[in-house]
Amino acid sequence: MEEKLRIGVFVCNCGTNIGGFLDVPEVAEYSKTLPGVVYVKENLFTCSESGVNEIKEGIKNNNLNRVVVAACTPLTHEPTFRAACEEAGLNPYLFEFVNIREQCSWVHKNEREEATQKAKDLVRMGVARASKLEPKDRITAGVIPSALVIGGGISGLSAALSLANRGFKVKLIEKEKKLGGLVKSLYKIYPENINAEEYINQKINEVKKNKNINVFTSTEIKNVGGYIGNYKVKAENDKGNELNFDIGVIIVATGAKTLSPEGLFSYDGKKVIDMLQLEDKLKNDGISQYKNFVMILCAGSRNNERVYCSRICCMSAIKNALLIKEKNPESKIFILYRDLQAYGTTNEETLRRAKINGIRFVNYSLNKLPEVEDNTVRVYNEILGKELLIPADLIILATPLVAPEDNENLSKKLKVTLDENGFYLEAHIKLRPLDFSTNGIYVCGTAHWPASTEESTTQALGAAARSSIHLEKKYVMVEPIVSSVYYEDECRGCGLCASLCPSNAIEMVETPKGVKAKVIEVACRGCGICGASCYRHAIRMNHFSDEQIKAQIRAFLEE
Amino acid sequence: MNKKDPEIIIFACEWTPYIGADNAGVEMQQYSPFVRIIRVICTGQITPSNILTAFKNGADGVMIAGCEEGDCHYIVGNEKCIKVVEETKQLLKFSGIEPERLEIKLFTEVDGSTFASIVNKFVMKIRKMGKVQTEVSS
Ligand SMILES: Cc1cc2nc3c(=O)[nH]c(=O)nc-3n(C[C@H](O)[C@H](O)[C@H](O)COP(=O)(O)OP(=O)(O)OC[C@H]3O[C@@H](n4cnc5c(N)ncnc54)[C@H](O)[C@@H]3O)c2cc1C
Ligand code: FES
Repeated sequence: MEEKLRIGVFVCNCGTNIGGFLDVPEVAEYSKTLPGVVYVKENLFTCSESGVNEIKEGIKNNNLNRVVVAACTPLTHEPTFRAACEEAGLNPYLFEFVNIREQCSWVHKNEREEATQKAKDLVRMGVARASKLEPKDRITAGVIPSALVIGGGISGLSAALSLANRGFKVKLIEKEKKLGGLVKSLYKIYPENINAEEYINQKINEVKKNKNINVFTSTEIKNVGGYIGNYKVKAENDKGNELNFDIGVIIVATGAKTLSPEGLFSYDGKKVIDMLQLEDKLKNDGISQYKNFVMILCAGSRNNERVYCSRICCMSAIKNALLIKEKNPESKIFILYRDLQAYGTTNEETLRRAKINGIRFVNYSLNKLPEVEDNTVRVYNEILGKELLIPADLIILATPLVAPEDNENLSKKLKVTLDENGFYLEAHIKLRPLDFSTNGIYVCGTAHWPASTEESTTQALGAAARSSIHLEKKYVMVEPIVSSVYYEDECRGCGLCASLCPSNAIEMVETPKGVKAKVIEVACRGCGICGASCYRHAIRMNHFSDEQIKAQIRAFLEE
Repeated sequence: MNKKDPEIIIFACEWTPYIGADNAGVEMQQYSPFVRIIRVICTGQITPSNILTAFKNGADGVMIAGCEEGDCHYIVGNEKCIKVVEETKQLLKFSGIEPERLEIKLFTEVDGSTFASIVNKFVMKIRKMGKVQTEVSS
């Protein structure tokens, strides 16, 4: 039997933020006339302690079975009011939020009458939706206490060590034969100019010695199934052996590559080389035969094709210029730049040191790129307003870090997103900078964006900390705003929903009545794509159901 | 509402456009009071039937607001919705409703002024078209 609706409506003045621009008493009075509404209360601030208590008392004293709050945006206070309902014994998913501040009073502040009318409509729509809400229990599922780290550069090594030292099992997968990533190819690392090889080898040894870490080199991910807490990962090594892992959380630390300098500034790999080749020459004492050095920054970046700044090139160039000077004080070094990014105190200090040591900085612009000729570089200096001819025995191009092509492939397997440059994209730049929007998967290092080793390590430790929340807790609790196979008899087992689901949250299972879709609730993020695609209407979203949406539409248009 | 005022529904996914709508408030960007926003999780959940319900019940315009291409939080939701909108426009034609009354907008920015100006443009267009004349049958 249908329970009788007993809806309570709480209308907030928000001081004068709402009450100042529309007629709150009128909206409250109007709410009393809506079907199912048995209690209405106007609050000065619904989110204040007294406002929240009024909701709780309202529920208890009036036996409310639905609560509608008309106030600000659900993105801020939905958790507050859901908790209030719960504390008063009402299932928190029987709560509906109506936004009459951001989406009404504040955007129609000179139209009191229209704003009041709109607020009434919005409350009517909210009440209609509330009538169709259903109680829900939060979903919990176990977490396998094991992490997968993809990529064995400084980021992956740091993340793996951090998790392992906290007692969790880690599988570290590296596609190359050796661990270490790009740092392995460097000579010294700014800002402290520590020896890159010693630094990375020490990390590699720590990882190899750690009993909690299993390293798999020459290994690539083939397939990722499952969901947060319970991923099924298939990998394959160069010998063709298949490896299967049960994993709770995943960290992506696949790094970046440098842009190939082919075709830029007469690159030939001998007289015109890239910064990685210079690192190699410095390592192997291969610069003593040169006197005149010219470095060209932003080679292949910050142009129409690649608009972003690679962030590490300015400092890598300045670092290497100083190292050349150290080895060979007689050398003459010119750095041709468009803008210099020496952010932070230490970098700025290094730049100052470079200038004191006689390293020359010449500004050029994108319209007039430097031209490499025999033993000289011709550059139009923007500041002097004239062309300079700079002698050059060795020309070094600072090409940007770019996303590996393989990202496309791996991101699809993981069901995570890439940005317009092919780097991995976080869920929210400020609120969840190391998470993907797919729960249980994290990103760090230059897989995310061009970063120094320090920044990469910071991110790696952050990603390890974020992922360890789930490992530590041993269970995940997710919002029960998910889809469900509501009319199982209607499901014909076609599998369309499972193939479209962006969260891998639907599996096709054999039942006595044939093959049916089954929702893996912990994995579902409630987007509703399945429901919208099911031609039998068998599967539906449970908290933004068609029925609820249509109730809102009808409520708006009926008056 | 005045009988002549348009009645417009915006289905907004709770990510870029919904945040944009909230920011319009925070920035006090003023826009037409004739729109009602219905929050959905992703545009991928919107069906032709949702849209037709709006027109059948007397909506003069429906705007679907989603995230930028490549930026849907559920990867393919907005792409799927673009197709749904195309199909639904055909259905509207059959029902004698101008398909221009239905629009999908993918938001690249979360700032309030973008939201307000896109909404105002849409409302202006619907105002010019006037109220829907035909009764929709489904
Ligand atoms: C010329 C140059 C000079 C630099 N100098 C400095 C400096 O002085 N100081 C400083 O702080 N930073 C410097 N950097 C930046 C530094 O190299 C990066 O910060 C660092 O390499 C980032 O580490 P990472 O682990 O995130 O990525 P990477 O070092 O790129 O490591 C990624 C690892 O993941 C592996 N991988 C990739 N895809 C997959 C896959 N699908 N499956 C499995 N494994 C995969 C790769 O093989 C690699 O081993 C310099 C960079 C360059 C190019
Ligand atoms: S999340 Fe915004 S359109 Fe899919």
